[in-house]
Amino acid sequence: MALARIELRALGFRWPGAGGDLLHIPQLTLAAGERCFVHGESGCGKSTLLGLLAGVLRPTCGEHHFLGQRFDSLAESQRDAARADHIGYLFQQFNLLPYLSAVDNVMLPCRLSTVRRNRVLAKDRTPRAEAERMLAALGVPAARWPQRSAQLSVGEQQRVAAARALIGSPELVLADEPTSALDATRQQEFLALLADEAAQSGATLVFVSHDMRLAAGFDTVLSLQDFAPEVRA
Amino acid sequence: MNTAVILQLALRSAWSRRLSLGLTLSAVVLAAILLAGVERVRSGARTGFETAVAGTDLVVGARGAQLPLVLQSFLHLGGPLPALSWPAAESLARHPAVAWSVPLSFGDQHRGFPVVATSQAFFQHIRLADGKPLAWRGGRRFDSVFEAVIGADVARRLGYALGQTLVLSHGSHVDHDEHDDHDHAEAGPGPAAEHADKPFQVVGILAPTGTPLDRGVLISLESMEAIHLDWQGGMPVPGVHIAADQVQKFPLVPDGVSAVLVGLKQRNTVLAAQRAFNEMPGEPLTAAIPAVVLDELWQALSLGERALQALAALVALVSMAGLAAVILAGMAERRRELAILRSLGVRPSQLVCLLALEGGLIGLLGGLIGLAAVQIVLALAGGWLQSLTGLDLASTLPGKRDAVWLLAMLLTSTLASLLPAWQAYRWSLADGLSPR
Repeated sequence: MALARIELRALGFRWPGAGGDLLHIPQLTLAAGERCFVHGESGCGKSTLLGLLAGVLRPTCGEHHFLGQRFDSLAESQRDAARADHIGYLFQQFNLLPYLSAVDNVMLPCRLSTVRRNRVLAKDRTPRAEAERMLAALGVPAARWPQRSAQLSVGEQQRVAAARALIGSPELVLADEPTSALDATRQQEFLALLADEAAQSGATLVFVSHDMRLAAGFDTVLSLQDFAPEVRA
Repeated sequence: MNTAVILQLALRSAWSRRLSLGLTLSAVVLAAILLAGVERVRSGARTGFETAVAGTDLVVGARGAQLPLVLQSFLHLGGPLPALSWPAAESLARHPAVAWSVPLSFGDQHRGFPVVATSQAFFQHIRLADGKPLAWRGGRRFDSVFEAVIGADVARRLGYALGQTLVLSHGSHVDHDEHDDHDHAEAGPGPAAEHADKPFQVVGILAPTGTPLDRGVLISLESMEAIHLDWQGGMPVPGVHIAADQVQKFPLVPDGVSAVLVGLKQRNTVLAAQRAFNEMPGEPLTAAIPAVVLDELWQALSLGERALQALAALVALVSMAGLAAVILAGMAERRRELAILRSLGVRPSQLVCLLALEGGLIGLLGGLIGLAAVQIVLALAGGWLQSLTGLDLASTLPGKRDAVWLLAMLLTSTLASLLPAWQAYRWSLADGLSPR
């Protein structure tokens, strides 16, 4: 087993002014390349868990280690920088900046992070060539690449978003119900592509969904209910 | 690298919202045009007038109101002045407090440009605001009859060069229209009110001064006398004609002049000198301190001027409120854009800068476009405006006060967009990465 990418110890989070913890995670370790499915109904802290893992939210107590480093005690700007360099993020929908073309959206992480850009260059590819390769691998027709993202179908938009999350081989890919806007057959297809590409770049994948049918094929399956403290109102 | 990319994204984002931003920008531009226009008219009027009167301590005319005397003598505006007799003008010149005096006579014009009859002393003593004597674009002073020196604007607008022949007409340029009607009434070739029989030759062209002098045609008092030898009461005397080559046979001494500009030996004696001239025995005179009269004029006008400035500032404020409203209204749409940027590692403080910058840039851009528009309009139509108002607006340049209101616009627009920026910041913290 490779070195732990993420390690959470006795992690708790509560919103300021709230009566109790929204989340409490006694222990969670995710390894490189591990694919983790987190099941949770909406409203039980999915967004909060993703916010914590992405370093946008800071835990109220406990330890958060990311890539062998204490993540929770880093300054906000350092966590922002780490997110740019090491984390790819997939939203439910509307992932793309509407004023950029599909390929420009994919290239964004390489423009905002030198680390991810250099990883692409290390493969002897330009960011554009890499973006186009990934779009092709994810099945986006070449004719769509130069089009503005608003003109793409929802399915295409999610694939472009997946390419953007994966470009420059981030160590962690966080996916927030990225298939909820797709129909059932497209869901399975998209999930397979995402898992494939994540495996190729060796990324740890955390996939959050309320839909247990998608859990097949993941190494680890967690339920957010397990992390909800008893005291929750 | 990060910041440059974010700026580039901000530009792309703004471009994608160009319609609403463009409308906002045009509102800001209109406000800026108003601010710049008001400021330009204000400063144009002041500097033009102040430059024109700068070197002169007193202006003396026949007994009457001070304002028309100053307006006519320096700005060539207003109706004809009552005449001051030549002996009175000469006794002024000999007064012990007087260093120099320059007699002026008005009443004629050339194609709408006022004719100023004066003496050689004019070129010697008239100083502009910077204390420099009049500069020449070419040629020399007039030194005999039927020679004219023209201002820079006259040369430019009429395309006159040295050696050009010109014919003066009777009547001041102010009642030009009335004068035209008069011409028509006396139909027939060569209107009687023209001094067509005694043409002048341009012997000198003055460099631009930024004062009404640029629009003047200067001739000697003798020339003025010569063209009116066979006239009486503003009309040619029927049956009498004195040819141009005969005029030298007559004593070309004027009966009177319109005004006398006076420079004192000691400027601090100006109040005493003014009193002395006002009370001079013999002919009743009025002496005015041009700077003081203009000051009074400004004070009389300042209420209107301030009202205009307040109105312009109000329009600017309204356009800034519009700017904030447009950015704020677009925020809901951009909430997702901001979350995406957040997920890509863009810091909340960078998002705030982005939005504040957008507003600030629109304010600055609008201000600069407005200012440029005003400058271009003045450059193109300044001459026409000058012929209408007597103000030399074309040569007024953006000054310190323009920088002040530009800066104020930049600040207000940045402040106005801090409201949406603050909202973006709150959202970016409250939403985490899940925009609601």
